[in-house]
Amino acid sequence: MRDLSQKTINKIKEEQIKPKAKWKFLAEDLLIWSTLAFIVIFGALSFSIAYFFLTQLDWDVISFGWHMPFGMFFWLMPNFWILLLVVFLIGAIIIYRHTKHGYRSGTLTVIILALVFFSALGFATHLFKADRGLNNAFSNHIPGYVQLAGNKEKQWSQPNLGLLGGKILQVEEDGFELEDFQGEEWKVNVNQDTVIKPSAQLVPEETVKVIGKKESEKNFQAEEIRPWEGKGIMHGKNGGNRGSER
Amino acid sequence: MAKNIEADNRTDAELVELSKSDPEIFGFLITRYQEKLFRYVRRISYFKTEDIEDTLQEVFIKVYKNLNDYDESLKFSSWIYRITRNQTVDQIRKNSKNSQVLSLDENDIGRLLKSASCPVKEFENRDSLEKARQAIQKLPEKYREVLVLRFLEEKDYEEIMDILKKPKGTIATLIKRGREKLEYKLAN
Repeated sequence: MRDLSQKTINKIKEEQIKPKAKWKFLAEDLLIWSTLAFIVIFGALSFSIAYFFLTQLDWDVISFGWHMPFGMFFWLMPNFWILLLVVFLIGAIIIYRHTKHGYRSGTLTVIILALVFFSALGFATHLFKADRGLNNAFSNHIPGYVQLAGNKEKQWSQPNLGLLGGKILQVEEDGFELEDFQGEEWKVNVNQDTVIKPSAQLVPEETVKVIGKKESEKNFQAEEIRPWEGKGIMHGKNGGNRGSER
Repeated sequence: MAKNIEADNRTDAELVELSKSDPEIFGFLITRYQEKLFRYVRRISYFKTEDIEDTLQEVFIKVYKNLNDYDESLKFSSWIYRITRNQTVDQIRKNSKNSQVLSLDENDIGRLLKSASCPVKEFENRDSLEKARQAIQKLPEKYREVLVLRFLEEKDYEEIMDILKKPKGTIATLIKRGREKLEYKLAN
């Protein structure tokens, strides 16, 4: 072969080729790492909100009336946020591969690392209740968000299975009128056997969860009434007031 | 000449630093690597001598332009092999219509046969040698390139990982499977 050194140097000189400035490479690196940081932050937020949704479910009634608890389990998963989490996970893998030494780690290692970061930051976000705030903001400002992502609303929109939730419109002698999450109005009957959890407020505009039985079209017999947040056992483990004691 | 003696005692990384301000010094790096890279390109491509020289000149210009991107945590040789490999692969894709016959010499074939634990003596006559050449050529590219780097360029796993930008575990698997596939093709 011919000696290429002089030929190449001549070309470099003739065409006045210069090494690309170091700052340009640093800027590229910075861009890649910043993108990765954003993906990790968004992944952590997705993790946090997905976790928040899971904590919002009433796990004691998860298989109510269902012969296949697993089916219910997957149906009630915060699938929208889990899907976003997967998208951010794939994004993190792709961007990490573009970092200078990203090729050295196997895909499984990168997936585990990304999940560790997502979950650690996600739990931190959950501890500061930022997930709750974000979820509220999305619910209030993004049309259709609740229908898309709200698994708690889904859980309590199964009157045929004995789970009904919604906002109290009007309180009556033998029960109350309730508007469910689809905007349908129900007559909820309360009798002396109905357990009303201590922190459940039966007043207009209050959102509640009702466990019971659908008696007829838009008529629901309440067996237990819980506040929208939690199971309403703040003042007692399993008990509550009987309907007649109200 | 004095400059030359000085360059011989310098490491690649030092020459890279000096080349940034003086392209003449970059010539020493070219001299140091051109023959090794020529052999490497010949082993992984179907190029004639002039095409290899053109490819290598492109490689050296690319290396010069990207000197500030050289990361001293890896060997300069791994970095320049990586750029050479990528440039060659691009070139092969552009010229994919041309006839594709690997230019491996008898010595190269012998070393690859040894890697596949094949008795070299069985492949000493011309027909058998041609059979071995075809077996190597028929290997999928991903296996052939790791075998070339490992057994002809004599790179260790770490270097191959940096050249091909793949995890070390993947490199080990590719080498193992490549050897098995070559062994199978030679036996059938």
